[in-house]
Amino acid sequence: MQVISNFIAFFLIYFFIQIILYRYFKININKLFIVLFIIGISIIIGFYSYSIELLMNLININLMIICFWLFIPGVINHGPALEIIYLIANKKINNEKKLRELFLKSKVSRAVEKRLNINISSNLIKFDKEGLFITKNTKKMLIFFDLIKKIYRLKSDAY
Amino acid sequence: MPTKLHIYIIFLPFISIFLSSILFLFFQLFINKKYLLNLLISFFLISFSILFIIYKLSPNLSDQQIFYIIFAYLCNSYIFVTLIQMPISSLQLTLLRIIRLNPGISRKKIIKRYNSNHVFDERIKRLEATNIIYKNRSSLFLKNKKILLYLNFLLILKKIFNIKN
Repeated sequence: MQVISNFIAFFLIYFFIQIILYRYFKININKLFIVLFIIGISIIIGFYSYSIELLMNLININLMIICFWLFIPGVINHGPALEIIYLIANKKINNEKKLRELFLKSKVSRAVEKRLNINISSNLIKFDKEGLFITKNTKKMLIFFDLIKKIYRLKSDAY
Repeated sequence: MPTKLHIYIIFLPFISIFLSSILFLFFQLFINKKYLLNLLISFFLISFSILFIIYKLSPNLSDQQIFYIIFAYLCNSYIFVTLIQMPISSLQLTLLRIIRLNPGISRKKIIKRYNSNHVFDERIKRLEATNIIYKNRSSLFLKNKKILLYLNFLLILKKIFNIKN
């Protein structure tokens, strides 16, 4: 029971650190570099500790950090689908024309530009005089996602 | 020293998510076309089998091991669902695909080709297809109110993080 309460304490501390850093300093610690750094340290500790209990805890901590890394960007920039649901449910707007109008007025309507900027700042896109290009790593990433799409026969919303 | 049971416990959540992904693939190929439903069914089927395994092995398992199996499986499931969801609806990936198809494209052209009007139409289509909303004449209504739980959870988090819409 002690180990579980330790883990819950770690979870809460990590969560509160996220809140304080983002709320007061606008710092998002859910970066790939930080996630990889923590995983790297965990592998070294797990390799030299010879303790199954510690290994299980480390795996849980790393999985939790990966989940945060995937989840928090969605909280910071929620998607257009959720904005539509928000307008229907909370603002009680049902008419499609009015819904579109309000959607286009909302901040989410700038989602395309925002995501484009995120892609540039995270080096997924190269930017030169001729225009925008994707990097080699981005190409590999897209091949990976295309593979998932093909294997599971998924249909994307666009392109 | 780790025993066979220990090694089995360590790998159980990863084997489970692998089986869940195979089950999801099976459903996608042969049974249902609604991917969200397939994801949920495969997740719950494997969850129940994990609970059954835990129940059978419970005399030999400590609290920490049970917690590890359940928590790691939940985290793995979340990562898997996100991986499946990303190629379907991620705006960032869509933009990258547009640039891959049109190398050298300008910012203006992208926004002209893929603007908020397109995004709105696509999302309405998907929300209808996944039975979250339905259309009655020219009005849209919520069909599945469970989504409100997630929406409210997100709104609370936004308030805690002080993120303005």
